[in-house]
Amino acid sequence: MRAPTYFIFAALLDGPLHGYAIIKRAEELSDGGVRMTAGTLYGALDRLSREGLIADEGQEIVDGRARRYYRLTDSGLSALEAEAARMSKAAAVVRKSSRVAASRGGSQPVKPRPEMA
Amino acid sequence: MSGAERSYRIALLSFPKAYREERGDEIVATILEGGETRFPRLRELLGLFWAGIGQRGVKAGGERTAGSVRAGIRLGVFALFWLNLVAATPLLYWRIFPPLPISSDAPTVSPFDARYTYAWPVVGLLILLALSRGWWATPLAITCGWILLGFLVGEPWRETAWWPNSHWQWNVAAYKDSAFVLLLSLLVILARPRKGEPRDLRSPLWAVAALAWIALSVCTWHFGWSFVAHASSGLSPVTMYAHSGPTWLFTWFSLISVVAVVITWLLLGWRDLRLTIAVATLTTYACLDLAFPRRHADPYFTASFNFLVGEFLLLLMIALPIAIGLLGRRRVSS
Repeated sequence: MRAPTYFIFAALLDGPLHGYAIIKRAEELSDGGVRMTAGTLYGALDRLSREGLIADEGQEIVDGRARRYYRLTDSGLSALEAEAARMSKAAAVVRKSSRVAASRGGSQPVKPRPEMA
Repeated sequence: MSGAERSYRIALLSFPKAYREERGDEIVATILEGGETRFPRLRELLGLFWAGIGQRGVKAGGERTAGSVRAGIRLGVFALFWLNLVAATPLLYWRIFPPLPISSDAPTVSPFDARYTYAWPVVGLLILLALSRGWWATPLAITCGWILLGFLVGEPWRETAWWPNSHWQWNVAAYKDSAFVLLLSLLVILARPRKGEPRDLRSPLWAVAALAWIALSVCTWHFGWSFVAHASSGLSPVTMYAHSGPTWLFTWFSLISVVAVVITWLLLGWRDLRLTIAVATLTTYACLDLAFPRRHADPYFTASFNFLVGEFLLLLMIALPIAIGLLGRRRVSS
């Protein structure tokens, strides 16, 4: 799953949003890492709608402008959960490493393993 | 409507029409909600453009399907027929305003039989209209009829190709061009849309555009601006200048063709295979044409400012039918 898709899902976790709100929310959640153009957003929304991962939640007119709301479907939610689990597992591989733990713990040098000494 | 909004709406033209009508307002509203600016944001414009092209790819019947390969071949052949119709310009000019307004080292036109001068554009136009309507067998029927007519009037394989570029070499290359036209006509039949695929109709305005271009180049040539006509005749099929070209030219051109195909593929990838295939069809034809050089050099096209401007227009004209061909109307057959 690519980053824009992931953060579109994440943006929709708290409830239905319209196009611009999704862009802003995804930007916030990713600390500015994901800045989508409208083109990217709608390309992704179309694809995800086709795959049944998000759904159209109705339209309204605000200040004379069309706004369509999108919501996460159940299969969208499970896809997001599966992706989050995968990433957390992948992150655990790095966190478990003694070298990372050591570099976090202080400036101790990494001890060479006995067979390498 | 602000200037920026207008620009976004223009960029929306890259989307299929039906999609644009359904979602266009919403997409523009989303951009404008991010703050109205005096000038359009380039990032948004480019994003819209690429999303539109991608959407067309999706609409074309999916990725990596045989359907999109066939659609690409049809697009390429359509562009070739269009270019070659436009390439009839110098002949028409010669017919309307004899003699040719060119330098004294120009080829004499005495062996040239002008009986068919007006027939070529008409035949080209008919084929173009047939292809825009989805009558895929018509080009083959017309070409066979044309060759048959040549036999009947006692000029078999001679000046019987309605493909205009042969006629600068009079009877030398006509057989070759006839063979190419037959090949293209067969190709378009093989690549016809199968049941359930989009019918790939194009606007008849394409034929009108070709006529307008011919009229423009004939008129401007009359006033001394021959570069428009240079471009027109060079359009058939890119190699008009080079038909007696040496081997290095063929190699060079083949290389450029491969690069053009690869660049198209890199830009569009699997999302829209049609454009890549269309470019490949066009360039393969031009390479084949170069691989069979004609016997006589054409002294008509000499290096000059006109030549350079003509070449630029030429590139533009090649890009145009392909690009706008994508905007052709498509309907899914029931």
